[in-house]
Amino acid sequence: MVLGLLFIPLAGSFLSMLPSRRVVRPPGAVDEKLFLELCTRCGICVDACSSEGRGTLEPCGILDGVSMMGTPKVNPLRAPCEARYGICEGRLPCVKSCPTGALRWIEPEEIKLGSVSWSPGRCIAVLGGECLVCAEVCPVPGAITPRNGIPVFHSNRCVGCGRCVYACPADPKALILMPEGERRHHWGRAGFSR
Amino acid sequence: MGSSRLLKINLLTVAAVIATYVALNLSGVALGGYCLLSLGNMPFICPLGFLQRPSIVEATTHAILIGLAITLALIALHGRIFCGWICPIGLGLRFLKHDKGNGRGIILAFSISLASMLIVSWILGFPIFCLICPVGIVSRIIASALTGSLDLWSILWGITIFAVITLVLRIHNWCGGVCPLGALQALLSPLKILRIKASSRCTRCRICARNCPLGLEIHKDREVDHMSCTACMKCVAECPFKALKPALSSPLSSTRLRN
Amino acid sequence: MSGGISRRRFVKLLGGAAAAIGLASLGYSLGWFSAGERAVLERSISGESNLERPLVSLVKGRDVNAMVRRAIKAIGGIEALVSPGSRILIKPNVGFNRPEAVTSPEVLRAVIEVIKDADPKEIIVAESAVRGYNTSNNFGVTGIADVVRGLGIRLVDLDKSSEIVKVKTSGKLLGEVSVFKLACDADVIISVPRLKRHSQAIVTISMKNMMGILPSDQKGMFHVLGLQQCIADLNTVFRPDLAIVDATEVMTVSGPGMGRMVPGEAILASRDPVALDLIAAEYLFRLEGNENPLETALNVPHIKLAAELGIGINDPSRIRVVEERVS
Repeated sequence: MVLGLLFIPLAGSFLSMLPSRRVVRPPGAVDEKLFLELCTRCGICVDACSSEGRGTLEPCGILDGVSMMGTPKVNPLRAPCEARYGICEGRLPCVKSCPTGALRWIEPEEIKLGSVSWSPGRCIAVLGGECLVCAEVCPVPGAITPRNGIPVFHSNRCVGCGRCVYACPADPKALILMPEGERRHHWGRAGFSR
Repeated sequence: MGSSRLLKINLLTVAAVIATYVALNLSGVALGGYCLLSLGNMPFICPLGFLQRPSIVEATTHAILIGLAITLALIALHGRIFCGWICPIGLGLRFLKHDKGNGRGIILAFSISLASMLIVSWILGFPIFCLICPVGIVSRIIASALTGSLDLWSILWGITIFAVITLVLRIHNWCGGVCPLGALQALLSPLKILRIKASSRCTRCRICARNCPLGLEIHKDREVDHMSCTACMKCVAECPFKALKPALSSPLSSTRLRN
Repeated sequence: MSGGISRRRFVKLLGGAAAAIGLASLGYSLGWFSAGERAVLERSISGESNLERPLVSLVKGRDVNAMVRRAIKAIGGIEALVSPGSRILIKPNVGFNRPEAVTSPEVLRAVIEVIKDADPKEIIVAESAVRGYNTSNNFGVTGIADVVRGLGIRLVDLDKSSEIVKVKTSGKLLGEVSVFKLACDADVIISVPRLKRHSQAIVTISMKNMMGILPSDQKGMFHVLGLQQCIADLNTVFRPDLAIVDATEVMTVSGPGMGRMVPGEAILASRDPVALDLIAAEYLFRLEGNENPLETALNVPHIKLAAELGIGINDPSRIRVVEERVS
């Protein structure tokens, strides 16, 4: 019985401290630590996202980390995020559906989910093919500029929508969406506004 | 025989709740799961999930408080009916026969468990019970399956949690002393109206107590721990004299009875 | 029932349910429940428009409606192509959600009105957008949806249709190509692109526009195999029977998503997509200030490769260009 009573505090605090992968969060997510506290893993944002067609959001699995399971992540392999230059611009169904304030309203021009990371060794253009699909689909002026038939990525301009990752025809993909440079709401700075 | 029918009914209620949850999500009538169900624009949050997240207060809306109030009111009136009929771990209680514990001290253990869990959660700034919560894990696995992103490892993790709770900690210990979900419901329901009552036909044979998975002494009407009772109806089904039955009593009269 | 056995049974039950869910999800992710591969179809393109001396009309002006009518009339009129009772597929370029990167709704309206006069059995406007863009949303925000639905024409977001067929090509790289079945069913295909530069295909006109009848995976495969040859190969089976190019506003320097917009004030039309793409590309390069526009156009690989495959004529001396001006 004593073991039982200690089980939750011990196991819970141990599990919460296990390392976890960094994932790309939906737009308007608060700081990661606060996000993990506030998110109830209810999946409503994922539902709201998929109501717009094939949504980009999916719940994290156990491989992303024990403390991450059920929290939403952007997976550009499913679909690009439409929050910037897309269907959801100015509407953000994921943010509006979040009941606990883990996702908060963010203006379209503030959105930056992360940036893409390029693996030249997998890129068709580098390997001698005719491909600039990433530059073709990129909606951000100047984020991907072709130079001599090879894409050049400017991560400071990238908003992290993942269109290029989604469209990249290389197998395995030459592009990965990473949370590098992501813009989050900071605890105490941005109030809850809806 | 009565018990096996109860088991089937209970299996059906658990499956029906999951099926309803899947249907609601697919049709878009309601979104979410056990942890937070949004019906229309009305969020019904798990009260334990709410309590483990102090920062949620900063983001709380009226809707979330109203939903919480409705949930708490339902718990206060009906007690641990969730444990007895909806929780997938509570389903395991059906398989337990005789009292592993003496049925006393459940409320004390619950209080300690709930308080220590909440204090650690607040100190860490992380909802630690949500990591282990078997109900939440079922909810998450269903949500993943609905979006087609379910992986084998998540299922294995869910099975591990269930195995630890049912085989290592033992179900009767979990449901009768550790589980903070049960604790919250038990502690909130001193005035509950749904109670098992013994009539004058009772012969004090103790068959009910031996069949109660939590070892509650139902035959002693005045001393029985109503707050711990999950209304599983096993005692009612097993009573050879049909002396026990669930009854609705007004909160005021029952307090009088206790005093 | 003793506690030990029943608990074991309970765990078994639990494990069974979990295994069932796991198996189902595994099957789902491996695509066990999706339909199997279908047989490879063949499609013949109408040979009569394979003219030895193709006509290309280039009509300048500002009145889009009159320009489109004149351009079609100059190449023999719509009646020569559309017989009453035929099924028409109009394929505009609505690949993006920016109005300057898609076929302008006014041009599309004029084209539909001309075709409607010929009284075909069915007209369908269909598109599958560039990957990463939502076709239905593109239709809405660019004003295409309002125009097409306003005329009572069926507008199809191909990405939402699941019926995909494989069609044999007579190209060099592509043995067979997967396309949406709807495109395969049409009797007459009319390509209505906007004149744009393209980062990989150099230009995107009537032949490159046909990539919009391909499902997502197939579009990607084109880049892996070699885009220019694949465009030509695709056009051996899905050669537009008529192409009308919207050059009212032309995207120059870069494309196909963003580029410098230059007023072109022209509509081009032809029944030979290769000849049309050559003349339109020349027009585009001239607007860019290229010193040798015709030569640059002749060197666009997919136009050259398409001519080699016999899809059309790219010999300027054999192409008759009818230049007109509508006031």
